[in-house]
Amino acid sequence: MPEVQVNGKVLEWAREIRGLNLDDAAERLGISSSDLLNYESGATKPLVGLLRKMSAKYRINFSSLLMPEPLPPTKRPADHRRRFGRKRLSLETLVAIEEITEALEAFDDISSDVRSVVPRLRIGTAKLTDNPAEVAARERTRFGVSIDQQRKWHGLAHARINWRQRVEERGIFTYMIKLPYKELSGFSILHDDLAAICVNDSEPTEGAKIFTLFHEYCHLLLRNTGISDNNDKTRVERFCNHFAASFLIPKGELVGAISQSFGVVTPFEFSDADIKNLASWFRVSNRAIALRLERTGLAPAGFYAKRTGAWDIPSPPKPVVVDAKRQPSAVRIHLKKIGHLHASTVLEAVKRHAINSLDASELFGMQLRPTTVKSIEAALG
Amino acid sequence: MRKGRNMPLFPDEELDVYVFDTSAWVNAGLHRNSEKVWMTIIDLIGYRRVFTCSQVMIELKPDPIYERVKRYEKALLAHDGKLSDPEFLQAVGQITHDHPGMCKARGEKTPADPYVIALAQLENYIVVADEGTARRKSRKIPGVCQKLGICCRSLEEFITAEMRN
Repeated sequence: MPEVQVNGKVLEWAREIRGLNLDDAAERLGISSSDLLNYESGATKPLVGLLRKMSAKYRINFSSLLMPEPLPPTKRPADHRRRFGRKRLSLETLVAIEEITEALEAFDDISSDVRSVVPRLRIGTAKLTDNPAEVAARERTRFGVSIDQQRKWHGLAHARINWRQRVEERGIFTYMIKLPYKELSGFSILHDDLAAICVNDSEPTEGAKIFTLFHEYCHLLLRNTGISDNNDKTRVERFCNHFAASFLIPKGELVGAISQSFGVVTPFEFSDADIKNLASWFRVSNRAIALRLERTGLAPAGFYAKRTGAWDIPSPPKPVVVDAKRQPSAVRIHLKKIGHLHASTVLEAVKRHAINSLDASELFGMQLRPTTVKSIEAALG
Repeated sequence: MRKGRNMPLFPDEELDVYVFDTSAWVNAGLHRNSEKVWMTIIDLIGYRRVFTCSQVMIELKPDPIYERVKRYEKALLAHDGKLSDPEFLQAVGQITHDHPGMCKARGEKTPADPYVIALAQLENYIVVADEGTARRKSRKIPGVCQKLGICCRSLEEFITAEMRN
């Protein structure tokens, strides 16, 4: 196999934009760190085979490794994370950010030709000096979802599907991608007049995913997007947490639910079972309820930490039983990942001849054969 | 191969040679005169006047036209030896660097576009691309070809030029 004249700086750039340090990258490539350093310093010229392996392991375009110079750095989304420390973003997260940014750029291109194909963002604005509970009440009115409707949803998974649909109705593309757990809860991107929210699908519960969806929605209201872990240490994250909790569990409704079900004098030391009941009432996570009880003064100070401390003790993962008959189709799994708005926008763009089938397959992330299109249309309803 | 069509009338006559992008193959299969278009392409493949590259074949794989194109793979990929040619790889890298939007330089997948353009650039061929309007001009093959001074035709322009014979 022939050696290729490549610029070592480009190899270093490719590794760094994927968030890999020298040792991680060398391990992925099955070579020593000093060998990789030699390639990156230009002391050794790589064979084509190694470049192909690098392209696969770094998940980067092969032709990019052949560039004469690295590309200038691009602006990454702001990093709001504090909960688990601001550890280096993983390759999976960086690729997800890249893919969604690319999708928004493609939608922007489509809308410049056929404007009506791509929905525009229809959300309000918020400032950090606003009262998050008031902003939440205002947005809740805009969404037009009553607590009774919320309670009629069958469990958390159904609630997540419904909330996601409501968010997409505001013109926001939503994605659910499995990213390393404890690295981030989600991220949001604003590109001109287009917006996207990505929820980490590795979050432990559907309730946590719903909370993240509205946490990120608040980042968009603030026009202060980025990568989040729903921590309580930074002002922006605190505001977004407060917003999400107030949106999903309005205080008046919470007080009403407590007086109806428990008839206790607050602040009250609610039990785990009480929390579970209330979580089920509002179709949210136990954590969201625990936090909201303390923040609204319905539970004593320190209640959230005390209750959830025990929940944080790691338990061995439950064995996953796969029932092949009950597995969703590949199309449905992919639709969950890319969201209905993304999928329907791609289909509409094809129908309106704004893109051809190749562009559509690329943008959809799956080969679009006529049978696949039918399945997608059926799934989209 | 049918004789008498798409052949040079004089030995020193220079005829256009084409390198087909994925979009051109797909639309050739969808064309209203698909069979006629296809026969013309087959003729031109026989006269070594239509080529493509293996990256295009990879992109074509899921499309119904792939099976048809595959039958002529050996002739179509006659230039694939260039994949290890430093000059060709350098051209691919340069195009990727100068047009990162078209080449998705920060992305995961490797599009065929820079390979098609590099082949046309080095061999003085004409690119046949039938891209949709989904991407900005700077991100589409015709726009990049124009910038690089490479001749680029749509499938319809190719048909008009070659089927009048």
